[in-house]
Amino acid sequence: MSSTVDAPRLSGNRLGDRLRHAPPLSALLAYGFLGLMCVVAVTGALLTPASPTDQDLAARLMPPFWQAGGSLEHILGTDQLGRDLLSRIMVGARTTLAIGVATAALEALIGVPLGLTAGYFGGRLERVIMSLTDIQMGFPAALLIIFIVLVLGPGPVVLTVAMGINGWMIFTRLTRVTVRSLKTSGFVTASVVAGGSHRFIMRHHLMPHLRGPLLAVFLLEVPRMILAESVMSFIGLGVQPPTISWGLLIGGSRDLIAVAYWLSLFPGLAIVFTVVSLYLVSNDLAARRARL
Amino acid sequence: MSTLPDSLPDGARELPSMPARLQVEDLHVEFSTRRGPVPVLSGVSLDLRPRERVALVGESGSGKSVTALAIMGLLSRNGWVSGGSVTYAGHDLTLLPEKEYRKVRGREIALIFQDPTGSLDPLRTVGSQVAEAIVTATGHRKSDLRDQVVQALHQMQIPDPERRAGQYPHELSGGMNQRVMIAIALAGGPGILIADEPTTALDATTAAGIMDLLGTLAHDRDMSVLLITHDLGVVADFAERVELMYAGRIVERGPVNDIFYRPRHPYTIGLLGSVPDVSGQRVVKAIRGSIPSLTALPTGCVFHPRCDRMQERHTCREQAPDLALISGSDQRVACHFSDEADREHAAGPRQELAEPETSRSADTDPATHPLVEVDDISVVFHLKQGLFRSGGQVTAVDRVSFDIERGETLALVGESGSGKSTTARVVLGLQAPTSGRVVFDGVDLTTGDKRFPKGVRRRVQAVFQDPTSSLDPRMLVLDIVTEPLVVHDLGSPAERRQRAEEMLDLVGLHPEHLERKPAEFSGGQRQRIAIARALIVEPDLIVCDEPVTALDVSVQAQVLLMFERIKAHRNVSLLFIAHDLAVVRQIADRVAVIYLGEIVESGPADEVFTRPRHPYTRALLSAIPVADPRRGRDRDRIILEGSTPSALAPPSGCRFHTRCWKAEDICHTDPPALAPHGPALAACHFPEEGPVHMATPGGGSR
Repeated sequence: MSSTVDAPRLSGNRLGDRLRHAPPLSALLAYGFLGLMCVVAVTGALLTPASPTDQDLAARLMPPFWQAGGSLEHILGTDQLGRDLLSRIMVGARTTLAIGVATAALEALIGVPLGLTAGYFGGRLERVIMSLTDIQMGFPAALLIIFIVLVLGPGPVVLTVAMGINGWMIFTRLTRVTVRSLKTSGFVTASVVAGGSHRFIMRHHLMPHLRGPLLAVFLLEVPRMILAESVMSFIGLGVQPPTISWGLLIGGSRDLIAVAYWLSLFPGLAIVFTVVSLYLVSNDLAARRARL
Repeated sequence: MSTLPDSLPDGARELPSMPARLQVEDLHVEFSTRRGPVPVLSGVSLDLRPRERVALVGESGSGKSVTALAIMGLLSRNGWVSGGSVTYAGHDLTLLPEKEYRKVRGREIALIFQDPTGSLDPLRTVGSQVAEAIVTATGHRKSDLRDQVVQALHQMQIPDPERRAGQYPHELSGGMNQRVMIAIALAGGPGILIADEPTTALDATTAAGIMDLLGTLAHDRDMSVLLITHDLGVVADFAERVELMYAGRIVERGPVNDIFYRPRHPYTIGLLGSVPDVSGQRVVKAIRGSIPSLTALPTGCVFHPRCDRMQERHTCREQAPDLALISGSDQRVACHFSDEADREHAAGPRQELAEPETSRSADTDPATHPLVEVDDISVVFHLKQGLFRSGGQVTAVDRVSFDIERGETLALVGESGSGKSTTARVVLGLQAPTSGRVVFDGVDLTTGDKRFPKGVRRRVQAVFQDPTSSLDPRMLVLDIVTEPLVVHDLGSPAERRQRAEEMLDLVGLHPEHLERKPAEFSGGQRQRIAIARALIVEPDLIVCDEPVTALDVSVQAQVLLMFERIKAHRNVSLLFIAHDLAVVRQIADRVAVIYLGEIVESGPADEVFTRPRHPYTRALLSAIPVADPRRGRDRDRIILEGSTPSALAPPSGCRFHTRCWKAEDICHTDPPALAPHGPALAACHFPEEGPVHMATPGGGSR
């Protein structure tokens, strides 16, 4: 029995594997669109075809270029002050995406440590944390957000904080449930026996397993927050002019929807494409994890 | 019963000319995978004659269960019969449309599985499930069936069948549920019963009863039984003929005595050598290497990479051997050089006698204290039940005491629910005892502080049952093996790596395996990795909780031998938790037998195994199937009645009295204390005297 044993390598043909595991076309398009959005959000006003703020009263309410009265100068048309819509959408991407990502991140920042503590240590601590979570879940979030914004005054930072401290529960619940099942797994027990400290076990055995599911939920939270930001900005409690966000663009054009549909349609499409892309990417990542 | 006329006289089954009831011929089965079709069966042939008891034996992945499913027409969607035939009563079953097949299943051929509790509907009483089977098979009205159901359960030797019929599967023990499954399978009066690992999920004492029942039923009902198992002990006890499978092929076939006493295929010889022997008179020998992956089968003879007989001969590498008849016998072997088996037998018998046990007993210096003193520990679990009702309490471990000396291996033996694993968790500090103390090298570990004192943790390591879950799937083997060094902050990364390489070498793996993940290894290899992790900090005690239970027989032998080597070379103590007495016999210096949370007998291994005092130990010993047909069938058999009582309501007095054949009034009222009997301790009012009858291996003519 002294002989050694060979373990067969699992991955044979790497290129073949990669082709077989390539994401479907819809996911590829989603990755592409999100990549584009990220570039636009980072570069801000650098790439815009026109200035997003320059007014040109002579060219007010121009339709998109393919319609009568439109021009290639303003591909998606102009608003009531003659500002280029495409440029405004591009600049709005930064605010909207930033608020979406920052809010989801804040939720995770609050929720994950709470869930980790509850799931890993259990006992009374777990009961307290989970009661808190349930109470927060039962609270009408919209009311609380509006209240905070009214007290502190509207603005992107206030909005992010207000939404973040109302949406962390999903991270707590997911983390707790995952940690609870990991905690009874053989390798965590083995680590306890080997002498691993709580911190060591959390860092080396729990977090790597949490990464996947947490990322999936994160990617689902971002579009939810983008939509929430749009709603808040639309009703005037979110981002304030002169800052531009997609929600604000739609909100500002509501009186003109009968004469200038494009002012609501294109920012709306930007939101829809982003949200759908995030869902597709999240699905694709989950499918990859399941294959592993 | 069966559609075949069966007017042949009794004993006719010995005649090879008798027509087969079921004939599998050159059966090929493929499964589709992401990497294309994989051959799972490559030309399997077997006959099942009326009333015959045939065992289909193989390790995991050999294709034995697939053979059963193919016969039943139950292959999953991604598998198909790609060649050959299954003939029953003149019909080729593989060509049968699904609708016709349903008439065969249950009425002609029935199947029972390994996990009885999972195979029953948890939401319906067992009686109604038996009734349904009778309705399907006979077309009787369900309302008239009460008596028939009770009768069927009674025939399965289920005590109190009227009451049992109204109970749900979770209210019955695993053994009882298996009896219910058999009742369901036999409702249609089939001529053939295929039993796929029917006792693997059951405790030894329960399993013995089930095999007994199957034997009786086969005889009474004129039924042929195809037993599918990996357990050669069960085979030796039960089967008349044996078919041995390896990598989707039958490599050896013959009457049970020929297979056990004159095995000719090197794999058969190796497998028989891998089985631990409970009499302790034969040492385990392992087959090298591991079972090949079906996606990359060796050329020629599939066994050649692991074969000792091959000796670099090209024939084995290039040509697949036929299953050829050995002249003058009923035995068939698929080996080019099967005639060399006789010479091998003459040169060295497979049943080597163990050397006189010199290294067995640990060097015990009476002046020093033992390494581990477990002193009177109890563990009580309080059950929660609903919001306001408090449930009962379970005493999982009841006043258990034992010592482990330095370099000694103590085996804690018991069936499921006996509290042996809970005891292991207490010693590991994973479970605080309700009362009692655990002292490690003079340090009390149970002072109420949850964590072990610094320094002790490193000296106590563990190996668990399931090597798949005990290795973090996301980590590299290097990180897994060096984890104890990392958490104790020992050595630099380079030194850790070097230690890890040494450890892998010790457990028979290569240094390049360090860069791989656990998923790339087989079960046996993963357990080696887990052992390497336990050894890397040079612990004084390794707690092994069923470390070889999840492994195949040949792999189990490899790992057991590794433990022996480790024992010999490093002065490490082992607390070895197991339910398999034969495995324990191989490795333990001392044994403690635990029943319902109490130690009923303990002492030196030789003493406990040869002169067991407690009736439970005797029953446990007699229940283990011995991989030796003559010895197995000659030995004293004690079949315990009933099943292990619930720990929620343990019996009064001696806990074993409900199943003990010697129990008298005093046993019902007074719990016996552990008292010395010779060199051993036993807790019994009427301890047995004298050695247990166990013939020596190879005692028959060979």
